Amino acid sequence: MTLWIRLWTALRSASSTLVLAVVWITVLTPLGLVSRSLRSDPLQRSFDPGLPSYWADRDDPGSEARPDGASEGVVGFLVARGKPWMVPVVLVLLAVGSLVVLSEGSAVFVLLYPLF
Amino acid sequence: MRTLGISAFYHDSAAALIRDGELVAAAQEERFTRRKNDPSFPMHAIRSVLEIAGEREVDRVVYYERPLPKLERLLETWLATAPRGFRRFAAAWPTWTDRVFVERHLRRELGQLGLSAPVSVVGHHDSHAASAFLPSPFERAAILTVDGVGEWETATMGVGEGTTVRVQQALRFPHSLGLLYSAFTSYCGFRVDSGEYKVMGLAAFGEPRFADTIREHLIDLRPDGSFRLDLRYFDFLAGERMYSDAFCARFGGAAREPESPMSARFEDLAASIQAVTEDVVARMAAEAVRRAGCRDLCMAGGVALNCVANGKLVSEGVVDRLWVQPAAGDAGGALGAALVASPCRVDLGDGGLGACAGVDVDVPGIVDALVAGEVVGLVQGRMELGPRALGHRSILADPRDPAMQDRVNAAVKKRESFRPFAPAVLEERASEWFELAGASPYMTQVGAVKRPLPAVTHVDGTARVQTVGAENPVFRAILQGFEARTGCPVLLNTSFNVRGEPIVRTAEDAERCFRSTDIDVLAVPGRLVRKRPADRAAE
Repeated sequence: MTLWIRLWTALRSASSTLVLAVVWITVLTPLGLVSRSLRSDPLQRSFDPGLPSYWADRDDPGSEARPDGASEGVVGFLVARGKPWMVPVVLVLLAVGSLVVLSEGSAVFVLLYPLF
Repeated sequence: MRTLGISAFYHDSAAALIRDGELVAAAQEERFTRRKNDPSFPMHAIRSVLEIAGEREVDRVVYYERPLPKLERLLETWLATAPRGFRRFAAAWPTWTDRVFVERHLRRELGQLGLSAPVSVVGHHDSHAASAFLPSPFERAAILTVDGVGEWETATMGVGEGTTVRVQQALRFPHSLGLLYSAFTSYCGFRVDSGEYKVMGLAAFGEPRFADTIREHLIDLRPDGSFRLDLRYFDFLAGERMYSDAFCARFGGAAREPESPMSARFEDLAASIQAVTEDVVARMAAEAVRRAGCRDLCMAGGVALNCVANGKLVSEGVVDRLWVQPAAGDAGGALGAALVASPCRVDLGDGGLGACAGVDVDVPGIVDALVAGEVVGLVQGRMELGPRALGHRSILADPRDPAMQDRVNAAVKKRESFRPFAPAVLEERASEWFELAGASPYMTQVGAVKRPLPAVTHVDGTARVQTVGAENPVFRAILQGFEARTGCPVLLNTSFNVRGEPIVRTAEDAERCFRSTDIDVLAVPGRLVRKRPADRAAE
């Protein structure tokens, strides 16, 4: 029996990996290619001899003593950061995420278990 | 007002409770679950701090990281590297929704403990900065926080005054001193996030012959301590490893296999990254005190646990006074988060912030054993917060005996011989034995050893010193007793645990550790147990 359980676990993990791979290939990779061609490096990866210092003043110096953050919501945050185009990406990722979570250890398991 | 601070889900989960301007209790989850650096929701630690406080509810809960800037950073990283980076993406996935909606996730977990207080989040480096300054003895001080990465930030500078903490400048991911050090840690065959101490210890054995290579190729370091990394040498954005093939080529070949024999190349690499780290930290510290207009400095973040770099800030005159709290890493983030939400000056005392095991240990019996050259395991008082045992959950021994380092290693610690043990010294006698600028109650500074203490002196003639003052009365009594008999006010003090396990929490944990090792004497409240020769023969 443990062999079946192991096989099932492997299959299940393979299927969530497959779902993630589809998201990676169809959403994040093309978007990444577009983002890299349209925007200058948002991670500021390269050296910049023109900058006298790499220290940056903090963007939101008001945040230091004020608990905030998620309360404003994902959408509001990304819009405020000037990245509204990230909103649908996040929504897709979250939706797929909850699907993957739901499919694990749920009714699907009970239905498919006798097949093995 | 009761504020509960929480750090969780990355490493070193912890909880801290502040009530009406007073730090009541703080504890780390690993001590309860016996899983080192345990990152899970700190259920046991929260129960413990509530029990110490005699509370069943709090008024608010504060988490030490803002999930949305972190989400933005992850997305930007994925977009910057895709199609590379799938494995990292897939690894981050299972916990992703919980991370984004961390407040909801925490409320659910807290509900299981019967807590219904509202949850809020504060910045990671704001937490570090608050935990660095508000418990310090300074009315005004510069603040420097340096770690791997918070949301976007990897280092910040600011200033604290009274109960106000202002974080003003930052360095941004992926340019991180903590990640640079971790890349070398993993290249040297140690675990990232916990093996950094080993690199620091190993550094004393090598020559920093790669330091110029690092400066020339890996990092664009500015006089004010700010820098960028050349990311061709690193793979932490998309890869399985911290370092890239170019890194290996630059430093003479493959990484060291974990647990394989040490070689001179890796000793030299450790010495080199340590030298560069000290240089960066010194420049950052100089810039922080310059901008703050104040020559006292408080530090936090994982890199602030690099006590060798800290010691040099004072000895080389970069700052006048330095204060580093004992839980400068993520465990202290719980304390910092609570302090950001409820700013107040707090006192960490002798570092004992957890549950009290009782204090009635047999001091004369312990002193007798130490004088006779025995290794003593001690549990007394409140459990320490952070990675250091400060005389409450400690193994003690005679530091004058040259064979003692090997004995303690063989008896219990079983750790690599290049890692030194630390001394604890009576505060008022410290300057006779060590080159130290002021007190070091939390063992966060290193100083040169002035008199022969072979068991606690590192190969470079230094030691990581704990000074013991009146706030730590039982440990002080033991040191005084040892001095009265031997003229030496110093003891070897190492944490009470076997390699790979968290420090013991209760007398029962200590007893178990005592039985499974070659510690000679166990001293717990109300009891002094000596291992009989018969027990040894049986083992």
